[in-house]
Amino acid sequence: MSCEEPTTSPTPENNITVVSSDGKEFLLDLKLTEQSETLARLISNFEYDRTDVKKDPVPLGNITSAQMQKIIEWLQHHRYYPKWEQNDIHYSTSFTFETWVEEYLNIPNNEMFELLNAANYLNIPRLFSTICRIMASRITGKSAEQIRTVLNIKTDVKNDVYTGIPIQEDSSSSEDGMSEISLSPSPPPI
Amino acid sequence: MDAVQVSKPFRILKLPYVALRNIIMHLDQLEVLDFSFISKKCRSIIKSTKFVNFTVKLNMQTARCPFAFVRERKTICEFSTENLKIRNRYMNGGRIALSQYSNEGEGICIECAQIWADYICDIFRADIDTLDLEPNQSVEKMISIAEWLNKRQSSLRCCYFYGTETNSDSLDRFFETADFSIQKLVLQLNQTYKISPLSHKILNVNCLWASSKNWRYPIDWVTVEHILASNCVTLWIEASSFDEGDLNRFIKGWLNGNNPTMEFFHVIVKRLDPDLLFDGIRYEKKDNSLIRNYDCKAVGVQYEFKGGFDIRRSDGRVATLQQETHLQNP
Repeated sequence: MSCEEPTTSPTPENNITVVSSDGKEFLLDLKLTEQSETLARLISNFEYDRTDVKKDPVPLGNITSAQMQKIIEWLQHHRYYPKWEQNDIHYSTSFTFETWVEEYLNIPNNEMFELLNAANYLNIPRLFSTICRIMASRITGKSAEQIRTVLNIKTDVKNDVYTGIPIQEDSSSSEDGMSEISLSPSPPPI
Repeated sequence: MDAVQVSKPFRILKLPYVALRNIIMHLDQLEVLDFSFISKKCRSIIKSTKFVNFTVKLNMQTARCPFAFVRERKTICEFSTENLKIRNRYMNGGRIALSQYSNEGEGICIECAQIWADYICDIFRADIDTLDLEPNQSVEKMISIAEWLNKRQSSLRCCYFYGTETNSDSLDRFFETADFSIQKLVLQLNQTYKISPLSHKILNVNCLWASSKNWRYPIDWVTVEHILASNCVTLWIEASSFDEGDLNRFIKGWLNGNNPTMEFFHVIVKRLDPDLLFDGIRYEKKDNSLIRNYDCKAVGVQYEFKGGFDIRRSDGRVATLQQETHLQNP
């Protein structure tokens, strides 16, 4: 789906300023903020859509300027798209994406991770769902071992299910005692 | 997208649960199964995920796919014996011998099916909804299946037995051992030899669909005594040996208060003499222009009564009888 419309520059009456965690200010068209449930609710609560209300900058402590720039790019592209409706029974297990989306999300894993968290924080359902689908597409068709390798998840199974031999615990595998993720590229024990 | 250099892995387990759940919801059931094998934590994440409604079907027949996931009567995913075989190492410490999986002409062995079913039902937090069984299993196997189901769940929505060979002792022992309730029982027994009437417990169901495709060996393993003593809501019997006398007894039984919960009874029999059928029964013949419909959801049939014969019992309940003639099946 594509909805190409001429873009309009924000004017003081129809925009708000958001401040990223590293202090950079972004002027954001109110129309764009409709895609973010978090921002839309904030604007509604503080009546930022009224011209006579003083629009203080909105601090977004969890979003860096790089992420905000990326998010604004998304919001602008989807400016005229219909409102996103997520229906539980329509979770799709087929993964096709618009070319624009594929290019937009052709980013390293760590950036994808941060972008997904930002989409979750700002509650941008279309972006959130799209990244989740992209991640699901990277898991689909892979065996448990391949998923372990791709996501670098260390097994916490005490005995190797192949041989019944106890697996040596890797003490460096967790950051907080709960995590099984390691950023080191070492492969999981197989 | 594959062009991106993957410098660091995606820290999927560090995501907020809502995001992780959304990713999992985009996987099919086989991928979810694989995800559950990654680690205990992954398994626990899967177990805490509420999946969109589907039901689990276990087929212990000679099936290529012992497990199926069904939504709105459509199979959305199947686990073949081959799928299970290549994942055998995860199951029960890999102690199921590969030879215990499907061999030529044989279905998955009961032990394998039970181990896999327990695991699958555990991670998807679902009971077995539908069970397909061979009616010629040995007595020991039938008892083993019934005892296993007794331990694992209190009810089964649908139980199918179909095949060309039937061991009536095994079926009897299955139903005598079963403590779980069955909503719908389908007995499609096409053996070409006579079998003795089955246990009365086969009628402890909401819906019984019994069929035999062979008129030389019609259903005489469901008797009028079975039916008079049953509390079935829906009874559908194809190729029955019932004659006018049997059905006359059944109708009189209903008029006298038997089968209080029955809503629909359908039976295919040889041509009947209406005088003998209605002997001693008061009825009211309705004009064929009177159309009445009954939606028999249990068997998925919209039934149309054109006219028919109304009978009324003392508590005021009315039933309509209709006889249709199909010359190809007299």
